[in-house]
Amino acid sequence: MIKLAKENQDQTGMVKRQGVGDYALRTLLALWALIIILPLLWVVYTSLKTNQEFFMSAWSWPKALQWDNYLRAWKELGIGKSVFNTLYLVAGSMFLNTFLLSTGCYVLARFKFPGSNIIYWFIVGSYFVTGLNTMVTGYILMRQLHLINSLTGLIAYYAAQPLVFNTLILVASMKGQPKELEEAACIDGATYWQTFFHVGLPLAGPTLLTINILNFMRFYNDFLHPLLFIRDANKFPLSVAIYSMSQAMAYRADWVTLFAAFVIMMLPTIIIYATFQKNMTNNLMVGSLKG
Amino acid sequence: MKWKEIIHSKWFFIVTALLPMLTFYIVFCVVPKITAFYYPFTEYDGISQPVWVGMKNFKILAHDSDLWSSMKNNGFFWAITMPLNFFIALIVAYILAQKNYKEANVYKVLYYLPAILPGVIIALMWQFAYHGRYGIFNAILNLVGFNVGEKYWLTHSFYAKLALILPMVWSGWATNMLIFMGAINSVPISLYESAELDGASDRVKLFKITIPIIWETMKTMIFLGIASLFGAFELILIMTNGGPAGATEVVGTYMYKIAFGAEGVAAFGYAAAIGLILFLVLSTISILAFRFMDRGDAIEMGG
Repeated sequence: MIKLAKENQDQTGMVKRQGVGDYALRTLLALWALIIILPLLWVVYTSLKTNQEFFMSAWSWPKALQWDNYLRAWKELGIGKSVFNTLYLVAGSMFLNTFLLSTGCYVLARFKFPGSNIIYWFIVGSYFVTGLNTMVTGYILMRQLHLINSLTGLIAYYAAQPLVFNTLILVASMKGQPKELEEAACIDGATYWQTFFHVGLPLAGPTLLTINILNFMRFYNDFLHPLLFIRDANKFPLSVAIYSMSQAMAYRADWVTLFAAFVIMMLPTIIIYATFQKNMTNNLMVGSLKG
Repeated sequence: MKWKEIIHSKWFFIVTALLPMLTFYIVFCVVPKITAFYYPFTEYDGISQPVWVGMKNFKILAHDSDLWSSMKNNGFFWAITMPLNFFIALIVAYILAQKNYKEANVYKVLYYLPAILPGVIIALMWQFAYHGRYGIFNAILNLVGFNVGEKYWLTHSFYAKLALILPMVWSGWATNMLIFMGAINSVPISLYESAELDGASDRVKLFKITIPIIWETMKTMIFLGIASLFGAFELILIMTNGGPAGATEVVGTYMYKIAFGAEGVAAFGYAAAIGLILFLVLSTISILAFRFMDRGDAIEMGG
């Protein structure tokens, strides 16, 4: 009885019998979930078919699972190389952004000095200047800095992009930390850097985790900037590599291998999402977004 | 001795810890935004030095019919996707947040999944899904009885526009759903309780309690929605590249072609001018919307 009550309770805690309306709603929700997932299911089961099976019917289920589609995607289509590029690019950008962010925000949050407020608003203020398209001017800048066609250059560019939004989050979080630990470290004779590494940074851990999950998604999924900035095909990260592969498909018609490449690219995203899904969705469900 | 003092001083720490972040921010974030007010007034092909030409780009812009028709497409996509994203999200969020079905969390996770996928994959997946012969879209339509045969949706000037709406909503609506769910969850339960005691139905609860209280959140989301007016870009670039023959061209893809298109000489100045116009248009709309919505609030309070 208690189990039933929990399941059928609504927000007010009142026990309700499941009406016809409820069954209808739940069916609709399930149907909606199926519709949403369908394209993804299609990609996955197609990636395990042979090309003949694919050309026969969109509904045909693979007779035997063609795992070497994935091997072929890795070797022949060149996914393997771009995975390493992506690894370098994303990890490097995440690391650099975390370094820049944590040192800078630590100062802004924990130290009062003339100009600290001005600098804070100088950074956070640009969050409100939206709509300025930097596709062209960003490209021109990278060219002038001779950072075109360089993954390392792209890391520098990437690391800077989320600084504004992340500063907003991290400074707020760091400001809320108690002073006692820092004072204790000071009494023990710790230098500022030591205090930062042993007190400030660890305390910011959870927030930095959330920030880095978002950073990962942003860097990993990005397509436009590598498209603009990277020229050599062997330097392409996954996003651009898969795009150029699909363009080559016009001449190859090896669809199942391409779909395998799609799944390969989606895998890290889905794994991270499955692991940190609470973190990621709770981020948006803040409660009340006030302009 | 004195050097050691300096290294361990508070000022040295502040400067060395703050400088890296500030430098990267200024170089890679501020500079591109500032030069966005300079290059529009130049002619720059990327090879020779930029040449100052004053308002020339803007004069050409005013007569650029391709630009204005691409803006119309932006308006089209926006006018259809924003309400869809908004209302589907609101309804589903209300059901999931209020009804407390035990499978609600699974749905929440599934619904949000498309929103975090790489844009390239979304675009390519849907591009192939729309394939006339082998795509899943036609397979489904033919299965349920709409005999569309082998229609190639993306190469048809009218249907391509409609076809693009699906992936946009598919990946965009769930973000709004989560935001709504958070806002709805923050409504005090006691309000619902007293309403139930008065015999209020679900619909009444939604309109008289939930919506007024989450109105602030709704306003923010409408603003974010306005800012996305010219946002459609990556998906369209990959799926149709503005085709067929400009039918799905949006400002973003148009700018891209002018600056980076394989049409020979790059026109960074002109592309930047378009960017500046977009900024001015967006700012104007935002300010107007802000005024309009605030006035609405005042009336509510007064009445």
